Amino acid sequence: MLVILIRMGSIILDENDSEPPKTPAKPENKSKKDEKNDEPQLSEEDKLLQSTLHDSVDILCAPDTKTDIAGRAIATISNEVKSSTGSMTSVPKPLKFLKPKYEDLLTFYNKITDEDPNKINAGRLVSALSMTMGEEGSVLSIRLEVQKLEKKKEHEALSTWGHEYVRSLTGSVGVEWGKRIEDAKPTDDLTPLVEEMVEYYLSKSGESAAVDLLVETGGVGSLEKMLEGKKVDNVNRLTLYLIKTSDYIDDPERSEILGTAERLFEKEGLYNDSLRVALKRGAGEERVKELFEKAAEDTTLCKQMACLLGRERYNFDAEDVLSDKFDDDLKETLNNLIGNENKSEFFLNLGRDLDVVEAKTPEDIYKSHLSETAGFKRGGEKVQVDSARGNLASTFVNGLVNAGFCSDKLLTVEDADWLYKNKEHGMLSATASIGSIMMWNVEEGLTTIDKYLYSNEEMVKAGACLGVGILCSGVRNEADPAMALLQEHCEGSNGVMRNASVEGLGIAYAGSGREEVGDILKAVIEDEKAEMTLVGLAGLSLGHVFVKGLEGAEEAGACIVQKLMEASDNDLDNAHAKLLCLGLGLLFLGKGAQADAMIEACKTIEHKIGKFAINTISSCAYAGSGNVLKVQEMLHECAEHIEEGENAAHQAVAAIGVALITMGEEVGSEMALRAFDHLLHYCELPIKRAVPLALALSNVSTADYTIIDQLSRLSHHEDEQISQNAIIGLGIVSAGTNNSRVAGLLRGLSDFYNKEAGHMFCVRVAQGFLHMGKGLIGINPWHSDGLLMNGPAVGGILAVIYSCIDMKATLLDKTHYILFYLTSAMNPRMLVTVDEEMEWKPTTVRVGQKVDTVGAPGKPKTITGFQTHTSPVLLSVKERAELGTEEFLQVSSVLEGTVIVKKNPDWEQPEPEEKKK
Amino acid sequence: MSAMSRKIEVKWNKNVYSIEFDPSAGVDALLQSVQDETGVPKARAKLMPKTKKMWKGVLKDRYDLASLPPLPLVALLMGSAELPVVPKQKTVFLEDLADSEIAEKGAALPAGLQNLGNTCYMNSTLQCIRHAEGFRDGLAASAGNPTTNSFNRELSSSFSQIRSSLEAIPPVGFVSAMRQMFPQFAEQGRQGGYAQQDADEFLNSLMMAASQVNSEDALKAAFGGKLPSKEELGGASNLVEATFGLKMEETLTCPEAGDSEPPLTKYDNATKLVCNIQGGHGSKVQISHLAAGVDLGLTGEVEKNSEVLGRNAVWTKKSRVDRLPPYLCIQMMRFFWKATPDSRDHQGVKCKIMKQINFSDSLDVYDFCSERVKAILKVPRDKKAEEEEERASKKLKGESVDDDKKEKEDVTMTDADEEMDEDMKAALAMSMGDDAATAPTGFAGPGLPKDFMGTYELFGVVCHKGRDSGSGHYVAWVRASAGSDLWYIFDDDEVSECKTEDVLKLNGGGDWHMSYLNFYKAKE
Repeated sequence: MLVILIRMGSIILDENDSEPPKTPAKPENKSKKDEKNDEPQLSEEDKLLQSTLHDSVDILCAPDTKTDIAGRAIATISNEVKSSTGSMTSVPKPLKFLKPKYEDLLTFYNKITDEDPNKINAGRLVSALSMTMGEEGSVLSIRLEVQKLEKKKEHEALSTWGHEYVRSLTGSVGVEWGKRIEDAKPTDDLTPLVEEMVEYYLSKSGESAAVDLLVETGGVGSLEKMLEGKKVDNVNRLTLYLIKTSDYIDDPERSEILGTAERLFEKEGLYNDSLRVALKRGAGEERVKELFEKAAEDTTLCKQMACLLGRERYNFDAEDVLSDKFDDDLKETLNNLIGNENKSEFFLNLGRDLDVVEAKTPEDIYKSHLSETAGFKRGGEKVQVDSARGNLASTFVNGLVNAGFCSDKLLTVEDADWLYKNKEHGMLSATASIGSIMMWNVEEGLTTIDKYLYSNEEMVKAGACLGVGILCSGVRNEADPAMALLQEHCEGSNGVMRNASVEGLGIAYAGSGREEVGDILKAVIEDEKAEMTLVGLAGLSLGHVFVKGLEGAEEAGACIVQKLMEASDNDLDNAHAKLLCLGLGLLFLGKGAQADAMIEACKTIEHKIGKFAINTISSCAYAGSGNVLKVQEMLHECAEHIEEGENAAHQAVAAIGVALITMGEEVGSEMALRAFDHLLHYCELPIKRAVPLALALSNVSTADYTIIDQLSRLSHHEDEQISQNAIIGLGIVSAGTNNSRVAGLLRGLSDFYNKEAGHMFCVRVAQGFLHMGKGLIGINPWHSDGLLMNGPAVGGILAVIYSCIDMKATLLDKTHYILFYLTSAMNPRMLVTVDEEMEWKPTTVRVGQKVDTVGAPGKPKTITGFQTHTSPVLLSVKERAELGTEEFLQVSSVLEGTVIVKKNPDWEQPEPEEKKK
Repeated sequence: MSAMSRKIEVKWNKNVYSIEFDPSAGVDALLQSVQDETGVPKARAKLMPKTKKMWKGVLKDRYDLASLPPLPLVALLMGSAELPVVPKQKTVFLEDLADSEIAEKGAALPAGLQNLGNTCYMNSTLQCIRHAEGFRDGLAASAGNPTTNSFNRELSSSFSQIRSSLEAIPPVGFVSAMRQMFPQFAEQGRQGGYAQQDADEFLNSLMMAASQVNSEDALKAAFGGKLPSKEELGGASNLVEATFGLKMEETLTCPEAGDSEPPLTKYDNATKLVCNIQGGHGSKVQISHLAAGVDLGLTGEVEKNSEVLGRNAVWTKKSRVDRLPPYLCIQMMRFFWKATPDSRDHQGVKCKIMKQINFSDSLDVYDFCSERVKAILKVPRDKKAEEEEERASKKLKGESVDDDKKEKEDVTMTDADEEMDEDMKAALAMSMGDDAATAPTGFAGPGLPKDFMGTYELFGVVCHKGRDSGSGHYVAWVRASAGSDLWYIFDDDEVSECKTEDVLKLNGGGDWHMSYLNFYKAKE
């Protein structure tokens, strides 16, 4: 098809070349037609070429031509063909002129025997000519015959026949390979061809073609071998394409491709990038150690790698694992970085730099003076009675907005009585929110929160326990305070204390895979006396700790599924049983087919929660994969019309699952958006209710205009749950962005739902999300240029979203503290540059919208519409940064989070123009 | 001790303390030294190891310190010197309160009244009357009295129901009592169902019915538990007269007869003032402001026999208020019956004057008062004017005087004023050139605030939307509390909020709601 097009193109081109001066329209049309039928006018040169070629073929095909003369004729034709393959836009002239003679040449080639010295050269020629004239596949089949004969003699590079020839051959190889695999025939003879072509592509910046070919022929693994000992200057483009390709391929090929990319980076000494890929692949501690050992000489690089592990919350103890190549000080530094011990310090510095240290009150966020009913509340004309629900909402807002800033105006000030302005479980959340305010600052936070452990109020004590967990979120401290303090309370008998401690452990040790924590949580789940609320929280925490199937996840999974099988129907009807399922799902986050066994096990659960669990697990297993088959499976689940809300919970999960599976993958999530529209139109209420949550999940922290619009519409929906979910959704979509549009919308909603306590709570919480960490903290689970999906972060977001499925029984009831699971997802959306000693080092950086450069040739720009700032800067989800100065070199290829910069040794201070003169 | 003693680094709150301890002395001794160093009570000091191979978790009393590894010891201390303070007063939450408590605290919007079939004229009037506290309390005090008729009893119970409810209530009992007493309100419309009525007519009926309440208890309750003296009551003998009633001084003069015919003066009772709008063609005066309309309403012409002339002559009637009420109602004469003698099928039509009549937030009635009342009001008015003048002049010349000093002077001034007793005031009035003979004694009216200057504050508006009294819709606008900028709109069962400026826009001139009955309260 393509060939025909090209051929036609060439004819048209020729026509254009020889177009006579314009004559009146009608007669010209006619003459043009005539011309087409006639031979096009040829120049002298062309005529000469044509006759040379035709003569050569005639000589060749003459029955009495001698072998050596035939050889020369072939050589003549071959030379002409080879030398004319430069053009990209038209069929080379020799090929065109040879067209009428192709049959002759083919007959000649078939006629002569294999022993004939001309056989090889003739074969090469005919194979090349076949790409435009021969039957399908003849390019390859003839080439293979040639190859067989060549074995004995010298090999001639394919590329001598031009780029088009190689491409044509590539296509044929792909088709042939597929056929042979189907027919179970050997493919050995194709391999050398593939290798040669890949090598050719790689040398000609054709990385995408090379990878495509390798993927088609299942030989990605051989890439390394091919590149062994060679200097690869396009490793970045090659690996980028490999990584992107892996998204569309299932295991085990996917792992192989990623592994190849990983080793390619490693080969080039790009250990940090190698580590990124290794983490994506889900590599174990051994591999991480190996990479560290290799990078040992470059301490700066090691530190950068440690930062990456810290962001991913990878539990890696440098002191225990690394060899003596690392001295103790370095090990300690690395451990600090991996354990995020300096996170609080960096974050506070960031706050100072951006001048947002001043604590904010909930009223600063509500800005009720801007709303329509403003004037009255200010003057205090209406008697103010503390509303427990209203104050609880303010508690969350206060905790979220001042998160990580270590100061606020309600709880940590002297003579604060805010705690007691909350009621019962509200006091728990209020105390816990101190943990949120002191987040990441373990040592000072413990002192602040300590006194509440001695309160007379059970709720305050429980809140303090949860607070300890929150403030240790993702931060490792040798003293292990969360474990030391919470362990005993997990074993106690008091419901609230246990609930809070169990959640605290989950938050503190999310993604750590700590065995001791697992044991404690498992014991809680197995405790027959434990209420379902507690069991649900314990299951969710367990999922957080062993998220992404860390070592120990298997036992954890067994424990949870056991509970699901044994629990009474009454227990399973409890809203918190859903959290147990989510915990189970998180264990298989991103594990793909590895979850199949567990899904089978869940099929034996008779209670309807079984279906819920199955959908949860299978959507989690393919989270972020964009797997179309799984998306269809989920949509299929939604197709059934179940009107009874309680029986349709699994459908809600399926709708959310669609978002979860397509999350972080652009094409997929766009398709999902359309699917959600359909769900809104044609499905029953239970599914519609989940749609706002799904919309939110697929656009976490992006503040995407269209999504906000859609959610804003849904936030006025007549169905209470749809509107409430849409409001929470608005918060999630805009989390930590300070987006003024959403702020306005939420203010409007706070007027609109003035008298609806439930809605009002949602609006306030959403406002808290919007201004999370005063706009410095986001909850986007994707990091490292969208390569890695952070397990605990997904867990945290899902915890909130799952509790919204049955909001009345969870967030709007007593277990509003589930919201604190979101802590696991909270991360400063900052770019901080530091020097080799990890000291603050402001640098010029450019920040702009991300550009997709996969498969793009040359050195494409990675960002567009950029602005130049001095670091530290904030990055939104769709923004990327690059260094704006040559003065420094970045150690990490991705500018996100904490990045070490080194002085560029080649850099010279550019002298000011005037001085030069 | 020295041979055995070891050092441990304790991190607390970003500080590091190096503490020497004797392992054999036990955990308690170590914690004691920690307490000495940091101030954290040992009972609440939790030491967590930062070095490996030390104890696990929080340091327990029974741990053998001698078993510590021979490494540099570092531990994290958790604990604080203080304990959380529980506030003495327990917070009361909205969620804990019963609906009635919330409503009575005023933490939620007040309740509305359900429409029981074109009863908006009644609902809106009741909402306004309800906010005349004196009237309401007086009524409530009489409700238990067996002689009180069912109308008044039901009225009072409706008031208390509204007060303690968050939801709109159906005033069923009151409506039936009302229709029984005033059958005209049971009139049926053409399509069946009850017809729309004139809110003013309803108010008149209500006043008539309520005027039967005349017990001493009721009057006492109406004035905050203190029964005013007879002089203060100035002839008001029942609840309506004491709260809404005006004593009018009517002076009739006969201009035709000139000075020879002595003016006739008589006294009458009224429950409201009327703002005469006199709209339409041919009217002599164009009224655009409430005060002007009231003034017009207080004058009139009557034909009466003149003894001097010996024939019927046109007398000018001039009414003035001789007793001011604590609550003042002003009716806009918007509705009238337009005679249509030329029409075949009816003799006239109900009309409404849509004309714009401006009114403001407060009303000065000084000009409508009789000479006696004027004299009483003049004393505080003059004093106020003098103060204002003094302040203004001080401001003019006293720029060099610093604010503090000025304020002090002011304070002493007012202090002195307060100390002045009645005699002094009289003396002051005299010194101000007033005729000693007119030095005021007596009262302008019952239950008026001290130093009342004749200023009233708008607190309720019943407004009407529509083209005549028999159709359209009535809505009440009521100020949340005295001096507040917040108003409630009572549209039957719907209650919403607005501001004073919105209320002042009810001045008419279009098809929007326009005020029909304005209720005022005496202003301090």
